[in-house]
Amino acid sequence: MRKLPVCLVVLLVLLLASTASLFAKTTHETGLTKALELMGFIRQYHMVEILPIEENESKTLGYGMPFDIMGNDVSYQSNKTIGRQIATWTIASTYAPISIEITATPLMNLAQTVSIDYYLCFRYNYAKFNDNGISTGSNNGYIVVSSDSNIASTDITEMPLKLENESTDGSGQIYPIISKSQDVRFMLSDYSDSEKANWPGGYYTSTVTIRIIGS
Amino acid sequence: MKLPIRLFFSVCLVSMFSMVLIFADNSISSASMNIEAYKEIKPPEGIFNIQVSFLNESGSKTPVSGIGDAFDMSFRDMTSLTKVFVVMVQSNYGDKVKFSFRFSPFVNQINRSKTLSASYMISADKQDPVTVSSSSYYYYDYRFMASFSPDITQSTNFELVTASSSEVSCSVDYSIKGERKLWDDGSYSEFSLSSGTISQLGTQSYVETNIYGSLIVDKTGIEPNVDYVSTVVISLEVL
Repeated sequence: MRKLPVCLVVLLVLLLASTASLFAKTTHETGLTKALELMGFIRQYHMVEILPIEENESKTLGYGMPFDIMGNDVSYQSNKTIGRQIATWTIASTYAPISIEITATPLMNLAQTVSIDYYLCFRYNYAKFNDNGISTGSNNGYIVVSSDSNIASTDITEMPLKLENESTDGSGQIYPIISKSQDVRFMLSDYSDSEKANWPGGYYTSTVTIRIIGS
Repeated sequence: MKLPIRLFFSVCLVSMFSMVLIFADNSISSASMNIEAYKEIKPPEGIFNIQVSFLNESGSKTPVSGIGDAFDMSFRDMTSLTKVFVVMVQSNYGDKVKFSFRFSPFVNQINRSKTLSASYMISADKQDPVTVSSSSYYYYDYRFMASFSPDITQSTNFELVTASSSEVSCSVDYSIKGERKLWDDGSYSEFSLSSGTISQLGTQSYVETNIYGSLIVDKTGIEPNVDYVSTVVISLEVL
């Protein structure tokens, strides 16, 4: 009988450990070795990362960086959820609901004499949980960002964007929000051919920043 | 292997991965990324070749074929400035070109928040001028040489930058300086070049220049059996 409390404690520890489910993992290529980084939600945590895609050697249109700004795959389209896929992004948080703010600077040439505006489309896709911790389906959507802060368009997502779980009284928000390795797509703003022809040749760069704020 | 300028820009020089990633301990987290694009430049007349190579310890070269090429420097001591790459430029093109270099610290591949500080230096050998006897302009002889601004052939002007926790960059302007020999006293005086000038003088001569990248790493806090990776991005623009 004296062993019963000990057994109960052991069972309790095992039960708690089993709740520390893994919700994200990242592999790191380290030359001849590989490391696996595991992250669990045994404590409050959240992260965001954006990984650029390198243009492959076959120079397939519509994929990777760097890319030709004169290419058809980055030209303006009325549907701003398409374009060239240049990166993937991941968000994982136990601070639901979370607010997302994304900013982008215009593309500039090295001499900084030309500024080119563009749209970015961030796809997100995560499982929503209800108050009982049961997934009620996925939440898909797009975040469309313009590097031109003065542009007024209903196509542009209003910031900050809130992502949350399926919850009636807020208790469902204790469950994680995980949107992993989703597309980031690039499209130029609406420029005429003559405007594009006047852009100098060479290298262009800009910076996109994602900020996640937990509840 | 020499890369023609069109191919050179089509791969946008040497880019070996760039990313900034920040983890926060509190309820705010952020990440950023550089977007890289280019517009192809119409190839100039004449010769303009670029080849980037890693420099092996023996002094031999390993050509960089494009984006993402990696080079194992783990056998290097790197406790003093060591030449690790070279940009070979063959040119007779008269316009000015800007070379830009971006360097990152060495990032721990297990824990990316840990970095080793790295200092990079850009330098060039002092060049001997290429002399051209004109066949079409019979009055003159010409000589041409690479010119840098700042003049990185002088040790006092070497471009030295240190990447501690984030990327650093530097740039240098490159052009071909031309001089014309005066027929009366044999002295040389500077004159302006136009595109393809040396070829227009009826010769296939060109100026060859090497730009070197040297590196020293602060190994304080280095962890054993962990790979550290740095990124070098080289780009150019015809100004």
